[in-house]
Amino acid sequence: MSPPDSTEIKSIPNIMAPINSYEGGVKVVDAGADEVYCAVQIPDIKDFVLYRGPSSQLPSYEDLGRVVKYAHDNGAKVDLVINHPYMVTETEKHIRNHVRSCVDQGVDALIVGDFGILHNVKKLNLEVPLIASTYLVSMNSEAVKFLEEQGYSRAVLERHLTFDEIKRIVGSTNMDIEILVHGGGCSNINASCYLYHHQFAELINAQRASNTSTPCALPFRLKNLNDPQDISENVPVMDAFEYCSVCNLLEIIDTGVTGLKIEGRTGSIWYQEATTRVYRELLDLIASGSIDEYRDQLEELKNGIYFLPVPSDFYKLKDIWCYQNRCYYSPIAQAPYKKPLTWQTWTKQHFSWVNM
Amino acid sequence: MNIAIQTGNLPLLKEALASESQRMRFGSEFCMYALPSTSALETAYTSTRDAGKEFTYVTPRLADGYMDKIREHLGLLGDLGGSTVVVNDLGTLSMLREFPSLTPYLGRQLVYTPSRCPWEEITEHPVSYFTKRKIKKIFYQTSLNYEPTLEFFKGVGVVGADVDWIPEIFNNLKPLTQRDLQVSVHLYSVPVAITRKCHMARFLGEKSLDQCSRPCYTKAYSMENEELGVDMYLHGNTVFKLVDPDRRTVNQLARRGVGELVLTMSPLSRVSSKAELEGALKSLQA
Repeated sequence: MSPPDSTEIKSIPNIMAPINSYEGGVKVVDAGADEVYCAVQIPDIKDFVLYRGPSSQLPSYEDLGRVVKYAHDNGAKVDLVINHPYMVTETEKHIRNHVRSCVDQGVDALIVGDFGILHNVKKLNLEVPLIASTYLVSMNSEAVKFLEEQGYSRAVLERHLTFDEIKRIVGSTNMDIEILVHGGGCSNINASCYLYHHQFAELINAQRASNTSTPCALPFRLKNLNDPQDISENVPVMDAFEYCSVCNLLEIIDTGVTGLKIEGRTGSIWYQEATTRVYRELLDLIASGSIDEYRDQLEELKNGIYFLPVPSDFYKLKDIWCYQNRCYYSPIAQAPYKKPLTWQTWTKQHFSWVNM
Repeated sequence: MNIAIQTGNLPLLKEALASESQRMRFGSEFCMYALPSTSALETAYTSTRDAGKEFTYVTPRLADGYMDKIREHLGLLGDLGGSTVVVNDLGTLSMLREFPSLTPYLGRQLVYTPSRCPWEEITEHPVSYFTKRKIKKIFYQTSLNYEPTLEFFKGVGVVGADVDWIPEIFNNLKPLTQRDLQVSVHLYSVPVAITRKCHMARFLGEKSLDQCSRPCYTKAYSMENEELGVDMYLHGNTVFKLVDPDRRTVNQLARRGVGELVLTMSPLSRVSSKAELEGALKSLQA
């Protein structure tokens, strides 16, 4: 799919920014987010952690209320992530109370990824739009149509798609379609990955030893079960991690999606704000037809000092993410880890105190 | 207890048909690129029926480009007289409503099961004994243990579901069978991470997954990381943990109303011939 020129620009999608604090909410709204999305700790089941711990959530309903007020006062919306990918009887009461408490704070939409939770939300008779989470793995038009029948008005598509597939889905539905564009782009399908990120000693040690931050980036010794001589050492075989979409914004807009979602509820406020600001500025350039200026900005961005989630923030974007083509919606079959980093970048990664 | 044999290719199906098993499952559970051709599906169906056995078609998650093909497959199965179809994709589940002679059966990817996690720790930080008990109770259920979720799927025609051999969840299977849901338990391998971006194909240098040479038909790898200390296995686009089924637990499952075990012929189960199949079946049947 070739990028469209400025005469073919469709409507500019909204930016959805992640937050985990009131301060973050203020910063991303000021940076130009059209919507913020967040979760709130569920008081009675806060020790039940699967993918993300308390650091990804607002600590209280009061904080949510403050975020909603600030966002609404400044023309932005707030979407609530209901944290659990499944529901059991033991969590029913807590989830219902939680949803009601959040809606009472004035959230604009609920992101729901399970039919049991959906059942409870519907029972509460709330006048709030429903967004299908990536936990529902929308990968085709039929699935999106099915979700629309269940009462969803928006869907966040699974990451493991191509631009052509996204475009086809968008063309098949009246629902608003959102896609993830930046931040931790899972190597596995979100809802089918049980390599939970909760931190325990062995995982922490393994991540430290390999200077990685997620289980899917860990290196492994691979042994062919049918051939004992066939051994490969130190292979991050699950690593299909993707990170960024700044260069692909024209293609993304051309798909017709209505929302661009930035990943990073566990990220720092600085990351949340900076990422939102970068996407806002680039989208505004495209919206105004300044495509050459957008391309100039991209070069500056790729060669400048930029943010990374871990382990430090002083790499050039092009040294790691661009060099290994870790773009969202990059070719499905590529193995980015097979393109070794330059020795300078490798050294920086492994000795982050060296300021080269 | 019935043991269904699952496979994705015709030569293995031929071996399976020669076994005592009364149900053949044919198709691709995890990989959309490994969908069988329509003619292979027809051959699998007719040879299974000719052998006097039951047929189940197994389907994976699918991107948009594969929906026409799956519709063609469902149409074929409908014309041939009907079948059970294992669905791992909401789009396929939705489409099945157009084919009344086909019976939807939930695949493992539509049954959220936290205890597939390979880590020993189920909480992030130390918690009290009673809190841990509470968490364990939630952790060792599946999404189908919540009645409205189960009723939702039954409402779209689902008659049964695939689950994994995870002994900690077995107590929670009885409430499912008591609500008239058929339950099939997969032997040997529990999927812990599934990708579209096939980890094995990418590692082995396949250039296009559409033209993949299917190294997964013959290869599987153990994945070792000394610090992590968890045994995992790579087969195709899925990372598994392996489990050892035993006859005593099979009997317990039968008492809980589980009617079927599923044995997948693959390099991971190390079952790829009639003889290996008979050995595996014998070890599990009383």
